[in-house]
Amino acid sequence: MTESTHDEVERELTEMTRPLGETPRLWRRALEQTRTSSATTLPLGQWWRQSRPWLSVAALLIFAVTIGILALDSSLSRARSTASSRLAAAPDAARRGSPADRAPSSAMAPALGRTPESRWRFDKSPSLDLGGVVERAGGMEGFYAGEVSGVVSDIGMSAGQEPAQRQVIRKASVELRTADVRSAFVKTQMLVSEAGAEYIENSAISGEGEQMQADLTLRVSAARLSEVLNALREIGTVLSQQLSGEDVTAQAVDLEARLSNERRVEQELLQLLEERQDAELKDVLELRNHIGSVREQIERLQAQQSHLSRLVSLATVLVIIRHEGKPPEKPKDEGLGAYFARVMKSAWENGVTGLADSIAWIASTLLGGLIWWTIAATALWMAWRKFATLRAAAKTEPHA
Amino acid sequence: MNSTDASDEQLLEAFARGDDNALGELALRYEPPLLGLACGLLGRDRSLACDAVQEAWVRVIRGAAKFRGESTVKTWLYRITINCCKDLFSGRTRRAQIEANETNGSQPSAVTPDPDADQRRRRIHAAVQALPLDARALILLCYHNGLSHAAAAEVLRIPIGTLKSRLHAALTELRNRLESEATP
Repeated sequence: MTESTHDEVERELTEMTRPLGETPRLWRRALEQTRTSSATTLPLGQWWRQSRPWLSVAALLIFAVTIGILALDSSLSRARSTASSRLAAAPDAARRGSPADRAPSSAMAPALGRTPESRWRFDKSPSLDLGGVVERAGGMEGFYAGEVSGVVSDIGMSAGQEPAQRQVIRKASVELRTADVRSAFVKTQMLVSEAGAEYIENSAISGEGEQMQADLTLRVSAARLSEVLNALREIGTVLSQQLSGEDVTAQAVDLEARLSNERRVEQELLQLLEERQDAELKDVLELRNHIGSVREQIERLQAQQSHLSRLVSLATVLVIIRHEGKPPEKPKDEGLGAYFARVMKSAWENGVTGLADSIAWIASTLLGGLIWWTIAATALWMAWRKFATLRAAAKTEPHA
Repeated sequence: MNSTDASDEQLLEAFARGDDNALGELALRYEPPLLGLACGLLGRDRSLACDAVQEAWVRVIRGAAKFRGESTVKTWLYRITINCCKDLFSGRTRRAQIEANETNGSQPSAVTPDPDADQRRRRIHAAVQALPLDARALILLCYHNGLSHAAAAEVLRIPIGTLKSRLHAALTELRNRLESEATP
C-alpha cells in the first residue's frame, strides 16, 4: 500500500465519523419518548406508592387465610388428642372389666388406623420400648408411664391375635426424699399387703440425722404396682423413678411345652413298664432309671415354672428413702480487708506448700538416686582421667 | 449558571435536577459527533444512526440521576452510543439492511467529481464495514475527530496499550482487505 493510499484511508476513516452539522434534535425526541413511556410504565417507587393499598389488602387476606389454616389445624389436633384420650381410657376399662367390655376398645383402634399397642407406643410409651424410663425431680408422669406400661403389657396380647396372657416381670425403683426417714420407712412397709401374698424382700435403715437412709425391696402384686407407686409418691418427694418390664411369655410357653412333653414321655414309659412285667430284670431296672430321670426333669421344669410365675405375679419395687438435706449455706458477705486477708493467707499457704514440695522433690531425687549419681560421677572421673592421660602423652610425642 | 460555560458534569447534574435545557446544551455539544460516529458504525445509514443516538439519549435521560462520575460525561455518552449501535447492529434484519445499503452503494458523505476517487472511497467503506464490529468501533473511535486515544481507551474500557495494539491489528487487517481487493 502506497503512502498516498495510506493517507487516503486515514482521511476516509476520519471522514466516516465526521460530526454532522445539523441534527434532528434527537435528544428532544428521546425526552418526549421517555416521558411518554413514563406515563405508561411507572417507576418502581411510584408503582409502589400506587399499589400499596392493594398490596396491603392482599397481605391481609393472605394473613387471614394463614391464620384460618392454623386455627383449623389446631382444632383438628385437639380433636385427635381427644380421640386419643378416649381410646386411652378404653383399654384401661377393658383391663379392669370383663372380656366383653374389651371389644369396643379393640373395635375403635382400627378406626384410627392403629392398634391400641401401636398407639400407645407412638404416644406415650417410650418406657415400654426402652425397657424403662427415668423421671427426675419428682415428676408425676413417671407414675402415669408406669400405669401405661402395665396396661400395654396386659393388652398387648389381647390386641393381637392370641388370647393368652402376656407374662411380664415388672421392676421399679423409686428414690424418695423426706424430712422423716423413719416414718417414711414404716409407711412404706405398711404398703405391703401380706394377705395378698405380698412381702418385704429386704429392708434396711442406716445412718443418723441428715445421713439417715432407708432401703427397701418390696414384692407386691403386679396388678397393684401402679397403686403402690402412687402411694409412695405421697410419702415423700420423688427424686427419681425407673420402671422396666421383661417379657417372659416365650419362656413360659417354652417351659409349658417342655413340661407337657416330659409328662407324655413319663406316661409312655410307665405304660411300657406296666406291659412288660415279665421282662428281664436288667431291662426293667434300666426302664425305671429312665423314668426316674424323666421325673427329675419334670420336677425341675415345674420348679422353673413356679419361679417364673412368682416373678410375674409379684412385681419388685426397690425404694430408697433419703433425708431432706439442708440447703447449702450462702457464703457470708465479707469486707475488703477480710477478703484480702483470706487471699493472702491462701497465697502464703500455697507458697509454703510449693516450697516444701520443691525441697522434698530435690531431696528425694538426690537421695533416691544416690547410687546412680555415684556411678555416673565415677564414670565421668574415669573418663576425665583417661582424657588427661592421652593429652599428656600427645604433648610429649615429637611432631612428624 | 450560564449553560454555555458549564461543564458537562454540571449540565448533566442540572438535567438530573429537572433542567431540560441543560440536556439541550449537552446535546448541542455532543449530538453531531455522536451521530457521525453512529453513521460510521452503522454503514452510513443515517436513519439507523438516528435511532441509535435517540436510544442513547433515552438511556442518558434514564441514567442521569445515577451517573456517579467514575468517567467523564463525554466518554460516558460515547460508550452508551457505541452500545446502542451494537444493539441495533445485532438485529439480523438491520444487518441485512446495512449490507443491502452497502451493496447498492449508499451515498458517500461527499460527492466528488472524480469517479476513481469515489470508487476508492466505496472500497474503503466496504472494507471497513467488513471488519468485525468491535474492530470497526475501535478504528472509527480512534480516527473520530475530537477524541484522543486515551479517551477512546476509556470509552472502550481497555488500557491504552491494548487499544494501540488492537488498532494496529485492525488497520493491518483493513489494509490487507484493501490490497486483496485491489489485486485481481
